[in-house]
Amino acid sequence: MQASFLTSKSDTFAGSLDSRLKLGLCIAGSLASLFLSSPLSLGVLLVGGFALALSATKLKTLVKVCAFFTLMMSFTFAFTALIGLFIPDLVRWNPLSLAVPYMRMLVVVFLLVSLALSTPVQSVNNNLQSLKLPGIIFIPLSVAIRFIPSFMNDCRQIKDAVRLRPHRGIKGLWRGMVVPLVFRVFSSADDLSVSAELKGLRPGVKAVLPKADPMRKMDYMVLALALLLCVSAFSLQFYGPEFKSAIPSR
Amino acid sequence: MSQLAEEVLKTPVKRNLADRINRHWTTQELVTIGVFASAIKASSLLVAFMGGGMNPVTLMAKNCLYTMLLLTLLHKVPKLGTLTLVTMVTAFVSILLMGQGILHTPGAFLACFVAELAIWALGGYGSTRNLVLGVLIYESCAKILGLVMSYLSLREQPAMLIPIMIFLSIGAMGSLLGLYLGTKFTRELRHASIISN
Repeated sequence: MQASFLTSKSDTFAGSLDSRLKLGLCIAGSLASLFLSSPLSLGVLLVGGFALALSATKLKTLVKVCAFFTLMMSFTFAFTALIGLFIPDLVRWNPLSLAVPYMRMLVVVFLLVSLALSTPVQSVNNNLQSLKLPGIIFIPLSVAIRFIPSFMNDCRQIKDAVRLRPHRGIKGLWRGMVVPLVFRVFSSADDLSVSAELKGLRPGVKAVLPKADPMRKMDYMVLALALLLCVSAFSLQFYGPEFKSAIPSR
Repeated sequence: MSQLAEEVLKTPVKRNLADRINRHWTTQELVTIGVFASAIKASSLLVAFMGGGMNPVTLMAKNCLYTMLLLTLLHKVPKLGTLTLVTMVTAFVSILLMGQGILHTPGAFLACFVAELAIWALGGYGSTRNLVLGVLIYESCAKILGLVMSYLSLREQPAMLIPIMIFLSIGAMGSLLGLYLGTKFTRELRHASIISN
């Protein structure tokens, strides 16, 4: 059994939280960061996201993520200055407005880190099943999640076959790698559909679903905290201090 | 045959919308959609890892593979809604794989809707020309909407959109190449009787 198919990773705080809650937080955080533009309100979301990510992984990992983003931001500063030299009207030189897109990205990255490092695939799959999704959505979704490791194995096998009988050039890559992979995908689809039909999986046929784990007190507390952070972020956006959005470079 | 049995056979069966949707696809088609969605996502990810995110060659290769696989799938499952279903599954898988799917998913669905409408207006999923045009419309719409979403998240610094536009055009060239290769490939698959129509 692959490690990604284990059902619980509850040794961390984020791991003990409900995966539906974490998925919801990811979607809400991404949408909120898209609408917000004030550095203060984004800062509030950033603190919340950082705290959640810290409960899923080590501080060292998050420091690395922050260092990477700072490096990317410094590149942006450098290239913006370079563009400003040639097309001064295009660049609106303001460090805060340059930092805001990176703050947006960091909010999403922190939330996704907490989801990806603390939630096993099988747990998300089980939750999807318990959401009583229609068969036309659930069947391809569960097949897609389960098929990724098999596809990776197929890629490895074909790569080994290519090594034994090397094909050269782009035509070789096409004949040796792409064509066998597509044929393999077709053959896997046929095999899986036969086994799905033998198991009685059909669109419209109600399967016996596992009982969904109810959300615990801690999940509700995290949900309330997230709502509070969202409300305060939006309040800061509309009623907080105004930041000059941009200053022309000349 | 008794009179009652004849009456039962003559009575038209009333089906609600959910029943009609469920009867629209077979299990084999749904599994094929799932497998292809997974292959599309995993191959894009593998190509991206091999060459790095900002490598123009791998960017082209990634888009080429994406459109080629999408076109092959549409030939295998030529039904209304296939594009939407595969986009839905791909978006979910990309969310799980830490992709940037959350922000681009609404745009992708809108692009799907436009492409499906275009295929339907052109005469349905029966011909290769309609499918190629549908995928082309889908790719163009998805790229334009992706640019709009990028503008929304980078609106404070519009200059940062210039490199994004350059990379999008490289990706678009890869998509066009994928459509050409996909058409050739589906012809071969039809000869091998893997694709029936």
